[in-house]
Amino acid sequence: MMEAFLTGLSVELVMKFLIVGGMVMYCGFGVVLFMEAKVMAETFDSRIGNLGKMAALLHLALAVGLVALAVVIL
Amino acid sequence: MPDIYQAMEEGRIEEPPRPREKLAQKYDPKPMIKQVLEKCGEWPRQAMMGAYCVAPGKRFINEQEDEEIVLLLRAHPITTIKWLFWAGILLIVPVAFEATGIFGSWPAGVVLVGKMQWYLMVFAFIIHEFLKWYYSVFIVTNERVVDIDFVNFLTRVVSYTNLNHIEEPSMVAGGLFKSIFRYGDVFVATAAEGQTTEGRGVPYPNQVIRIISELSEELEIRRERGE
Repeated sequence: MMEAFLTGLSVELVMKFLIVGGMVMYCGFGVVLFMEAKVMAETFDSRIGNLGKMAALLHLALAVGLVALAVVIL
Repeated sequence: MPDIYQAMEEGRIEEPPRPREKLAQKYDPKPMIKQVLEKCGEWPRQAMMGAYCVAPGKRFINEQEDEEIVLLLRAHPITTIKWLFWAGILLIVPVAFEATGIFGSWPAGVVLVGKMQWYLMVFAFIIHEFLKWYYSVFIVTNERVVDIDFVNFLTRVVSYTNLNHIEEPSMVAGGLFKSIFRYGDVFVATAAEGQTTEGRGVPYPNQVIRIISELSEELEIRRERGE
């Protein structure tokens, strides 16, 4: 069974898994960036606080969107 | 004949005096701040793209009740040039690589996803560096000097120095860039050995030192008066 699985693997498929896996991990970094923006916004009141949070959230959404795109394209 | 004494109505209990008088006596730092700023030739304003804010009227983390921000400082905008330069370089890297034709034999899908991922990372780098610059501040209030730094993604370092514990505020401003753009480092040392609060690359360091000294003196006078 293991042999059949291994023979079914191609270099392209392994590459796809590695790329998508890396991008999923990057989404975790996107969450950290959003949390950073949230922690920073608590420092003092400012209009930039919401802007920073929105930018970090946009970055996270783009990262998740890119994972979906990679799964479709690759 | 007028009544000398009137008994209270039955069932009515006299209320104890409310602490309103005490509340009315609460210390208002605004006149003192205004006086200090006038003495130093300052007025509520924002300069250097928000890196030098006088009496901004903002609230900050762990602020005390009778505390008011006198100066809100962050590194001079020119100090951001280093990471702006790197962001610019990172933005043109994919274009430069593409021009060499190095990705010619790669599948188009991989190249497209790789490029988009790269630009996303540069976007993250810009957000992180901008927020780090914007929120790493040096605050002078009527009571304390507060230094807020972000060392990495989720670590915030906040150090406080009471104005009445200050030994000697000092500054370093030299070199071509610092002289042209009028910024420098401010150090506030306390009596405790090795305890220094620093404001790196803040605009008008001499004015900052002057205001800190004046506020410290005013606080001393207030303490002597027992206020």
